[in-house]
Amino acid sequence: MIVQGFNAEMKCQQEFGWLLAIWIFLSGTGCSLYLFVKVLGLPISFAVLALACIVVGGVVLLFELGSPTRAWRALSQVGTSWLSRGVLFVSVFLASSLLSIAPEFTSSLPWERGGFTAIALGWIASLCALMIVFYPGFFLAKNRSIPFWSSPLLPVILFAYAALGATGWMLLGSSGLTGELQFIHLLAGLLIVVNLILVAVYLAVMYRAGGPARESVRLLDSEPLNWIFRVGVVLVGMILPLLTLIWLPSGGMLAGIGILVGCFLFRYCVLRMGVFVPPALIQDDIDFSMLRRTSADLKHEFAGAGAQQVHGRGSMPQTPSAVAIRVRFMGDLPSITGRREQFVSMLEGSTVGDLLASLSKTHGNGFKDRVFNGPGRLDHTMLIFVDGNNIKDCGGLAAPLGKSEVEVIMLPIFGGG
Amino acid sequence: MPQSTKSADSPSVKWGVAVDLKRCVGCQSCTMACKMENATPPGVFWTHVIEKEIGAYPLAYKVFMPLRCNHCSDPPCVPVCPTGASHVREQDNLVLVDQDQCVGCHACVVACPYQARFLPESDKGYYGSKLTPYEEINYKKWQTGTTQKCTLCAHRIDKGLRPACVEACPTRALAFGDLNDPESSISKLIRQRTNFQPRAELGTDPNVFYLT
Repeated sequence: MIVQGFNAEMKCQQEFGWLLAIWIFLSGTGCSLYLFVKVLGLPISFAVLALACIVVGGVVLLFELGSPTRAWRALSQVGTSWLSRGVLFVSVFLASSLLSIAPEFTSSLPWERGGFTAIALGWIASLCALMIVFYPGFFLAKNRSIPFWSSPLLPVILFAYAALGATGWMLLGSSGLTGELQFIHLLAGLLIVVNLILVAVYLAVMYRAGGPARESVRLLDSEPLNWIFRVGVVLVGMILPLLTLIWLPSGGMLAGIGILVGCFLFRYCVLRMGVFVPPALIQDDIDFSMLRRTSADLKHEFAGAGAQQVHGRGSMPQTPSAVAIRVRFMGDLPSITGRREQFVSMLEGSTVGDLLASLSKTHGNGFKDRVFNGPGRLDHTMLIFVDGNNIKDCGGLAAPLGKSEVEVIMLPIFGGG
Repeated sequence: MPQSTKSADSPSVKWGVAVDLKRCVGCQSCTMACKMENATPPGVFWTHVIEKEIGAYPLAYKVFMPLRCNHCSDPPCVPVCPTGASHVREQDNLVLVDQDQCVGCHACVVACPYQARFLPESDKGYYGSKLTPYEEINYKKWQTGTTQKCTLCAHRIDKGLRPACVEACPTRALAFGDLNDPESSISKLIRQRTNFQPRAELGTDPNVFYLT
């Protein structure tokens, strides 16, 4: 069941989770592995492993969709949608890579292994593989609603992590490698260090950005992401494999497993740390203090708007010479006046002293003796605010009431609310 | 009736909403009117009112802000859609979802900065699998596993009526009309009152204006 909050607060995205993390992990590491096969000339079994990653990831991605039977429609918006382009790249990659490696397994095809057609298909597959590694980062970075993702550094990190994951697959299958093994150990170690630096820089940049980006980074301090990131991504995914590669080269397969676990969990963390920009109600640069004004102010403004509609004039009507004052009584004053608030009409240019004199006439000596401590002297226990300003800071009893509707609060210091 | 001197079939109509924050009291009438009119699934509220307390005693006060899809002029939810299900209706700039094309990829839900889109994955009602008579009839409008959002009651607008939330608001805090018509009441309100567009810095050009 979808649950919405009715509070003005920052919220984390809940749409993308394990399933999409699995797809991004398998597609990224699988396609990187395919690229390494082409560049390093690795055994064909690694190309088959790469293809298997894409196929399995694709099946998992179908479960992510709300209506998977319509998945074919996702090819229709390649001009605008990175998701649509991703589907295109995956489709072309699967077809071209299968056809390029097929001569390894059968001789009944019209093109042969190492021939022009196979090589061309291999190049097409490689280009598509490169785009498959990059497109999730482009899709997330283009998102305006989640500042933590909206960075050009994100596609770079996801690419670097995909390359690291590919080395994890290579280490896992290293029993099939001979001469390349030392190079792969070196490459894996180097990529671990590079990714450590990239992730640290990314988190620092996002923390410094403040707002929802900082909230995203703060999520790493709370469960379960704190455990997943610190233990899964950093310790198991980076530190332990690096130490293993340095001090226990024969433990390459273990290091490979750790790297793959870390790569997957990193993608999950990135998705789960996505915090939306908060509602405008939390924006600091919007002044909501005007909303504290009275309904008399509202009537005045809408009376002006209604006059324009009827008479077709382009300007607001003239301000009346009387000013509507809303007086709120607090502490023991309601028991003296018999009410908690009162509307008073005063002439433009009147002062607080004029208002209190008018109220004294209305409510008698009980009010006057409570408020004043002698002629023209306000009792020291009485605080009076005019539109939020203490009259002691703007002239005391001579403080003007202003030219438009105001709110006056009379608050005995030792009175209750 | 929508207050516009132009017909809704004209391509230059741009429907918008003005929310008077001074009038909104957070009664959630708009929330319930929308739910009743559009039969949204459990937990999904296309429009709802959030609140925030500002200041301190004795000057504390609450601000209420109704939220809905802003039917942006530059909607980020449309280009991310891989199937074209999320689209802008040309005649009046409403941002709508074609459920028959939607694959439920969640991309538009995440792309919306206003969190105004929803993807319910269950067809259960408020009382579980057994639907009430109201739910049995009205839930047929929705396909489970596809995105849904505020349509500004397009079905009502097309008949010359106002959206359900605007109609229901007891304080007349919501104004609806054609932003392209300078003589419409909403255009006049926006000219006369201090106002802001939510998260305008994101470049979405939302067509909902909050009057302060």
